[in-house]
Amino acid sequence: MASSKKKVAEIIQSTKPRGKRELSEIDSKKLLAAWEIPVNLTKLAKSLNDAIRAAREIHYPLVMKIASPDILHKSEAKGVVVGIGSELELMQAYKDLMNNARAYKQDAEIIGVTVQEYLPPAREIIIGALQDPSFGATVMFGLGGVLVEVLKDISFRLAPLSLEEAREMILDIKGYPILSGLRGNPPADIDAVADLIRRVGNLTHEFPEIKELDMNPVFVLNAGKGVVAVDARIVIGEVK
Amino acid sequence: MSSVPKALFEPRSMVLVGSSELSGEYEIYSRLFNSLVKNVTSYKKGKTYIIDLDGKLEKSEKRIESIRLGQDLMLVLLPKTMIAKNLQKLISRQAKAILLVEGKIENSQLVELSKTLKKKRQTSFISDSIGVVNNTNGLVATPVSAQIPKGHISIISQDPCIAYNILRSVRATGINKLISVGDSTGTDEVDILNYLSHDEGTRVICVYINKLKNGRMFIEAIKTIAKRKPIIIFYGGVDQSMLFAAAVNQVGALQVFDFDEMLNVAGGLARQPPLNGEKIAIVTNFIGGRSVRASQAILFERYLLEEGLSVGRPSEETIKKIKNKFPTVDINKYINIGENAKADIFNFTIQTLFSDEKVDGVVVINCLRSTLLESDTLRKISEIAKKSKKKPVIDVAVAADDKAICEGVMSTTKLPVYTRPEHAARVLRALRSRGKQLEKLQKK
Repeated sequence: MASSKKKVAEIIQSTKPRGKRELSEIDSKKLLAAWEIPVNLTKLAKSLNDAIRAAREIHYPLVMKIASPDILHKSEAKGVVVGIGSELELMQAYKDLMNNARAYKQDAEIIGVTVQEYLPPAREIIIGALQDPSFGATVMFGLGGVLVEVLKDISFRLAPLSLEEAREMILDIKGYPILSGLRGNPPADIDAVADLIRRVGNLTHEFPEIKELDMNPVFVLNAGKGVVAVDARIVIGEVK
Repeated sequence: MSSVPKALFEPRSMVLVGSSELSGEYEIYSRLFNSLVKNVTSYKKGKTYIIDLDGKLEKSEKRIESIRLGQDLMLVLLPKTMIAKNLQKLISRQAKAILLVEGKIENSQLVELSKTLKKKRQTSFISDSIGVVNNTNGLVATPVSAQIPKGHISIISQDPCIAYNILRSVRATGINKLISVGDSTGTDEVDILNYLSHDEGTRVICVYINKLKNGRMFIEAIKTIAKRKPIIIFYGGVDQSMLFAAAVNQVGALQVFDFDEMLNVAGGLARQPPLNGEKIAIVTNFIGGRSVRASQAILFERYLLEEGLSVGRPSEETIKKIKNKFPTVDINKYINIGENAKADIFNFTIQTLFSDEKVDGVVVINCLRSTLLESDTLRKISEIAKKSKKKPVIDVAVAADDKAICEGVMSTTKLPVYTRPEHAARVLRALRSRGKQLEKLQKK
């Protein structure tokens, strides 16, 4: 854990100049990985050739996303292509992503694209954290999609939190049966979800510089197979 | 631990500052001041001085300058303009705690004051309060005229109106201590919580809160104290209500959502042991046809289910024991001891249920007026309830006319009596939450 702490501190330190700023998806995932939070393999490609090289390392099928500090909601900007199966498809996807980004915001700064390992569909959750002005580090958990957006089926805890408290947080939501196994579906890896919640709590408690953290979605595999964060967003700021 | 709460609840010296003969729109302040002076006269544990700026009250002084330095508690009951005019003089007397009763100062003034007092570290200041009550030592430092029976619940309220309502509504539960804190500087809810957590007379702490200066500090304090005593939180704020609820739950306090629920739950927790399981035996003395007889029990069962509890059917051994002694008792899912049941049947049935492993708690549903059961019998049930250290007993008297009898019994015995079954079910859930929390602590 000491080495994880050192790595995270280094990443935060490297985000100077100071002031509140959002890390790129690549940097957010680097920080999470340094804290031993599983993330899908993600590489930044600044050109089409870079993207082709990255794809050869990661292997098809792939996901490709626009990388721009000016485009926060990538799906809204049609900035995500899923299930790229070949080099030809990758070239087309690259072209589409660039055009879509320009159409969405003409003057957006475009760094390139991220080429990411594709994971087959799984149950999705979201985990968030923030530094509340009154309560300090807090963690939020919910199932992905409509359950969070419409029904606000989410639970909160103050960080740091124990594994038991993280489990209670999972049990708190009405959609829990979706994770425990509904209509013959095998149970999801709830132990891994609890461990992930606990880790996120410890991370934001240890590093008050992390003002906001969102992992949406996190794929939850079947029991014993773990969890993987496939998108992440972290905002760093000064500690008062 | 801060010495301010001790100065508030156990002052060895106290000064009341007011004006007894104001007229016109300020007349109310004089009436309240006179009432405060009258209420405080019964306090014998410390010296009390009166500063009546009109100088008409007996044994009073006229000038603020005549207040001896370093009094434990100064209660000021004056209109806002008079407070503003005399504020510096009042502070210069260096009382440990100044409490503005029914009065407040401008926020900007409070901020300034906070800076000054921080430097001096002499005086804590509470505004917008209705005062402080300590039933252990007879301190009734509030202008509210009310019979305040002694109990084991202590209450902190940020809102003076809520505090006022509590003083008017605690006939059944009683209180041990109450403080209305309003806006404060130099002391806060956490100081008072810490004091109450070590206070022998306080079994349950209730907090009404609508804003927090430092949520983390408040929650950390609750976390420590809830291991020792049950804490009930009624949050009246809007901001961060989900986060607040989660935090309160995380540290083992109980959240309630209205005023009645707060007092009901506090009354149950102060009188009965925690519930160590989910199975509740229902004992009734209802008359009527079979379906009518069961209807109240069925309704109560529904409320139990809503609260995550269920009906505990006694074991065969228990049924046999009760039937052997009282053959008329009808035992199925519920235990109907009959309309003419007297204390002996109640006594034997409930005691037998105490030793049944299939039962975690007992609820008696009765209707006083429709039977020959009287408050004396209710008192007998309370004596049985007192004997149980492990399983709670709660009474539901469903006929509304019996409320006064119930309150009378509740204020003088250990038996919590409720006139509405949903209230009783909610109290059982709170007892179960407390039980779970203690189980967790034991495991650790």
